[in-house]
Amino acid sequence: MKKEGGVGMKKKVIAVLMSGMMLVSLLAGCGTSNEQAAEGQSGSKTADAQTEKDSGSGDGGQEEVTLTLWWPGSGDAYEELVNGLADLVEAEYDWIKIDPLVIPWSDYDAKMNVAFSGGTAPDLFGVGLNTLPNYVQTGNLADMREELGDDWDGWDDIPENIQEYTTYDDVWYGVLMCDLRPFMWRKDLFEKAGLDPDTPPTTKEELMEYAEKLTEYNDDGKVEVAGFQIQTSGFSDQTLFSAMLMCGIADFWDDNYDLTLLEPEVIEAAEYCKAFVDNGLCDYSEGIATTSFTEGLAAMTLNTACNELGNLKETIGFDNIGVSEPFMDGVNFVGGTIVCANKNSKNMEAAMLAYEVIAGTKGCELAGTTAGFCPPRESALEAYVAQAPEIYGPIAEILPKAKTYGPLNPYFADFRQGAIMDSMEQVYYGKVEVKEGLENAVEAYNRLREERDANN
Amino acid sequence: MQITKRSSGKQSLSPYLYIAPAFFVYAVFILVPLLCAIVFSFTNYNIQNMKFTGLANYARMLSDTKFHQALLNTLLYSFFVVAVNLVLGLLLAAVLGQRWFKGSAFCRSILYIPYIVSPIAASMIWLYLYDSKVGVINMIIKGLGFSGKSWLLDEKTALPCLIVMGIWQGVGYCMVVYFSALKNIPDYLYEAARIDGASAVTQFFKISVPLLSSTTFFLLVMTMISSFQVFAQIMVMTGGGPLGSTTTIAHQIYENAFVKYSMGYASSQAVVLFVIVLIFTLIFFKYGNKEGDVELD
Repeated sequence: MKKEGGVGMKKKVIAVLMSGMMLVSLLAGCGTSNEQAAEGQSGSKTADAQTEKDSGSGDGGQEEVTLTLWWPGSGDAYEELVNGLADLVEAEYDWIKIDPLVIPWSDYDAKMNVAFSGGTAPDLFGVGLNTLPNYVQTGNLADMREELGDDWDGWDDIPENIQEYTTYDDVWYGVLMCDLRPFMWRKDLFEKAGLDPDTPPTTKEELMEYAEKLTEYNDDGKVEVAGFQIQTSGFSDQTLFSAMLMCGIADFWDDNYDLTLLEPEVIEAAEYCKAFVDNGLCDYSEGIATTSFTEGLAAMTLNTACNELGNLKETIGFDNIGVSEPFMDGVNFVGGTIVCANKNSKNMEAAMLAYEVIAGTKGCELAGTTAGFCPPRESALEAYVAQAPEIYGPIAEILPKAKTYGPLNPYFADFRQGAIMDSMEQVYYGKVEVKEGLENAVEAYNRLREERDANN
Repeated sequence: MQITKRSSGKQSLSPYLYIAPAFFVYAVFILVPLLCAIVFSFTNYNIQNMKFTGLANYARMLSDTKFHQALLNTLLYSFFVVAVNLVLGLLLAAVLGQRWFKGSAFCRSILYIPYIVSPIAASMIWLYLYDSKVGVINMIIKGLGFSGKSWLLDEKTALPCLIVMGIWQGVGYCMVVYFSALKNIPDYLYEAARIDGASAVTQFFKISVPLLSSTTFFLLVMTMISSFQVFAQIMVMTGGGPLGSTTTIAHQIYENAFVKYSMGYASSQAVVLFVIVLIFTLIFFKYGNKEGDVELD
């Protein structure tokens, strides 16, 4: 009996120990340290970085600091960009270390939201232009005008329109690495269709005529190469906006965030886009992606990001690509990634020094020569254009006049995911007429906006 | 596990301590999130804010046409995938179990492989198969003199394409389970039937099928649950389109939670999905488990 009792006790002890170990390992894996939580710091330090900080210091007696930098995107070019930015900062300040991370766009906002909620957000990070208001609402973004001060050299080096696009509620949130959408065409396909490869269309009517000549069909009569890239599902707002700019309408919404979709010019622009599908110039089922032009499935585009030029150079070759100077009255669509700073960064001073390097001329040059962003600084354009003047030169000219959707809109997600994407897809698939589709979009947007207001 | 009682009448703690680690993991990763989802479903939680909104999310679902479409698509997908997988799985098991069939083990392995392939990898394979320009399916169709289709970009064919893929992925599992169940049916039953002059078909329907009812019930519940949760294929192959023709409840949950950040609404949809699966499971238990082989508790 005594022996059995001893064995039972042993088992109990083992069980308790195992439970304890499991509990401790789980908590260690999932939790942040109490110290971190209490301080509410950005939580960017890895164990190694923390050790570095504790043990090392820079040459100037400055304590070594590790900052985290998150950037949305994917692929080698973005890795090259963030690693290059880290090198630039570390070369300038040997006591600042940058821990960079590239996160795919599809996961980015979710990861950032979780990081903000958990107090583990990076010190510096990129934010998609249109999603900025959502980030501002978290209360974690630094007022960069206040942080950088009036004597920052960027104020005179960055065009006013680009500065304005990253201003929300009178606060400037950072430098926009620009993703411009120039008019691009395939010179080789122009030649094949008997068109002058150096003369792009200059009016809407010409664009349609050119598309008719450039569209190629397979044996089944289906579109093999679309004359003009129309995005019929997914982010169809981008093609529509480019067409709107051609039609003279400059915003998707007004200053009160009321949609302008029912303006006659917008309806005209949407009907113009739909005409490409109706005329058999763009099989909606084939021309669904922004990558059609890049993949050689479209001959002309107004919706291919300048970031894609690196890929285009490899796949199609710059000899076969033409880039138009400001297209039809000189307005093109611009989006991009804003370089922002975490207001709650524990190392704000170091973060601002790093920011000045990243958003400085060299940082902007790097953004242009690696990930293909059009640099927002005039001082960085020379290096950008020098890569291939016939391609990058026109893009640099577009920059000062380029337009985005309108004032930054806190209801943007409702507009895109809840209204325009579904409605335009219905239009392109012929389920509803253009006007009805746009009316549906406005109705859906207004309803979602009301719900959002009520919830907040 | 039997819980031992001490002479004092107190239950021993040991069994509870042994299962404590497993239960802890279960509680942290299953139970707590489940309870959180139920709580969130009554709020407008959007990662940043959370306010109690009562039944507003559930009311919203009643007028959400996308959710209705997702519900219909999920039911259609589940019905066809489950029904075909069970029937085809049984037939394949019956054929592969025949003594005259050479290479049974090889065929079973081949049929089972899709089940263990990652849904993402499988989706990529099928994406290429269905491709309108370079896809094998269109090549075959064109070789037969017909014109190809944009299978995944046509609202009429996109869901059936996903169903075909779902069947391809699941039939091997059903076949293997049926195969082992068929092996457990005593030979003397078939011998007796043969002596009585029963044909192979009669033996199959009068002996095999009835004796496989508990296996069928098990497979019905399992495949139904997994088909209601279909998500990866849809994300990779169609994104829920075109025109929402392939969106499912799981896909809508993802869209609302991680694209629109309406966590509260997504949670309410998750709760509804849970309830639907629960109802179907209870119905199957009530009407499909007549032999009482599987106990609810």
